[in-house]
Amino acid sequence: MDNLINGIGLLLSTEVFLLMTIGVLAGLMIGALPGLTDPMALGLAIPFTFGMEPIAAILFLLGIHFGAVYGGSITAILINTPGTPAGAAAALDGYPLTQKGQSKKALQMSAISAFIAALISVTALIIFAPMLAKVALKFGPSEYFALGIFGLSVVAGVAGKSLSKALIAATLGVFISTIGTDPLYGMERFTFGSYYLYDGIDLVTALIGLFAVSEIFKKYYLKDDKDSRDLRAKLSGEGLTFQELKKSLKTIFKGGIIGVIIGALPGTGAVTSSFFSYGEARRSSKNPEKYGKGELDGVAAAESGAVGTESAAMIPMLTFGIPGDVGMAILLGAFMLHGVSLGPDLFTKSGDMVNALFIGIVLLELLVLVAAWYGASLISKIVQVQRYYLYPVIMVLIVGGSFALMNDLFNVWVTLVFGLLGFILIRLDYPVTPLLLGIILGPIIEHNFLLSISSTGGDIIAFLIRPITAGILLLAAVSMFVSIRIHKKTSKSMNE
Amino acid sequence: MSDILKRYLDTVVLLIFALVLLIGLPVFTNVPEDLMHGLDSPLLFPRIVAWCLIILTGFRMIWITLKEKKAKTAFNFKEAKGFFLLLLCTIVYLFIIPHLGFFISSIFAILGYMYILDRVKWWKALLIAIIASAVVSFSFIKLLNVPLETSIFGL
Repeated sequence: MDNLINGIGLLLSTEVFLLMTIGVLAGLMIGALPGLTDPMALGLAIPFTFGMEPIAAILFLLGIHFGAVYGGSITAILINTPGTPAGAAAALDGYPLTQKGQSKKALQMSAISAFIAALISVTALIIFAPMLAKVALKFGPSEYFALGIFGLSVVAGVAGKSLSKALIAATLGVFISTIGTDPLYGMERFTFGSYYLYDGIDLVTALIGLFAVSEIFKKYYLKDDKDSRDLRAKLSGEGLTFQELKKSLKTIFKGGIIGVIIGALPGTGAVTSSFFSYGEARRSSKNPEKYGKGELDGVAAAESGAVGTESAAMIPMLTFGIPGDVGMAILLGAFMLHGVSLGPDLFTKSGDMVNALFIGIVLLELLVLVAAWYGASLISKIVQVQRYYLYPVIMVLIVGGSFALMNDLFNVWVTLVFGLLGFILIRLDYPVTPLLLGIILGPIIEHNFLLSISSTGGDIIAFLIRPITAGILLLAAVSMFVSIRIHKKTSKSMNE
Repeated sequence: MSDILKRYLDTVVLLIFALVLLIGLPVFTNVPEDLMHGLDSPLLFPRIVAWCLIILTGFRMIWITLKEKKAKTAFNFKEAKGFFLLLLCTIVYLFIIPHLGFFISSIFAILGYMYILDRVKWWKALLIAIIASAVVSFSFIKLLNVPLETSIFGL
């Protein structure tokens, strides 16, 4: 009870509320702007959180994340150009509704579905995260080693076209994580005498390079963005009626639950969930032929599926410190930057912060609903910002942000190198997310492996056959298999 | 570039990287002889990484030979003018920051970036460059208390 009161106390500040609002609005705009991605926005925003209290910083970043996930659907519905990949499913029925002059109805259905699904997702987080944290208290180094491996099973879900390329990217990530001093003896590895590399590659620097700089490089290389002057859209038609909402409630709840299950599975994020939910709604509908031609239920299914993943994806991150997708990986970096250690300790030692986080997430979802309900028209106008104004300013922000991380230009050079690496990988069809996961999970795996080996006197088998360790490793294999299956099924329904 | 080279280039580069890593481990690290081997060696994980890369690239080579008959053009140098100019502009930007300071360098950088993307009138570009640089510098220095590089003019 004390934790709950203290948690509310942490949130009762104008600054926190203001930052949450700014985060949501910024996220909605970034999500709506085709070409700007959620990871890019999160990477860029992290340096701005330096002076903030940890809870304010995390909620600000979560606001951007939640706003961006929803924002992608606004342009998907209005102009058939999803701002984010997760918004693509919403366009299937949302855009035909816009063409019929019912864009207001589609956007309101999308906003309310997103809100209900978000509440389902946050409920799952509030119930399951503390339960799992209690289990995690019993974990030792060998279990955390297995969890690190489990985290890498995410690679299967984000593999894209080739699993082998994803595995190579993850391996490169693990290699990058070995730069610096080793965790047991403090011996220098790949530092080449540079004291800048003594502590290894900074995670935030790497992710700004991989997700922000590489995106800008891509834009300048392709030069194929739609001219935003073609992206004009107007809100039209009647608003959503209660009867229409009531008719779609079952679909929304189903989509929310699908989102929770898929979101909690590592590697299967909002894109998979939105198409899975859409496919399920069409399959169980009495009128499947109406889907794709402007069916309101289709918008509800896609949106609830996508947003339902948001909070559920935080379950493995908060309880075990293992990120389930790229957004969570970046947020993990933000938690680390602000000195907040994730895992069971978060629940036992910082109960007030956990409660503040849970309440803050509910408030953020409410803010997204209000902003989406009343601000969609304004957001659709903002997407008309010309790219040749936007990208140069983003580049300067990247340089300033990377510099701010260590107050040194060396960091900016590292960001540029990672930007180039990310760009080359993207051009060669190697997914970038596994690389980031390798950088994050590499130290967890290595550190806990060395501790486990020390405790068993060098006997690998002894720690691998510990029941929980073996169970987690088995789960990792199953998770990888399930991820590949879901991924294939989603790709199939996307092609249909 | 021949089709075969294009198909295998990335895999071969990775394989060479893995081999260099494996062979050069004692050179790239300052690990003493007695800690070179064993399950708690600081070289264990880099060694595992190198072996994983060798196995995975080997697998990819077999896969490419059997399944990927056509090479995908990953990078067209003729069309990459914008990218190279951006890269060059950024490198120059990073070199001039210590001399001209963040604010002034950023003005030049934004002008350069806009020039690459063209279509912006010079006075508009200049106005945006000054305003954006001022806002970014102000945000970092005053709001975030991050001391950015300044020039001899104090900017």
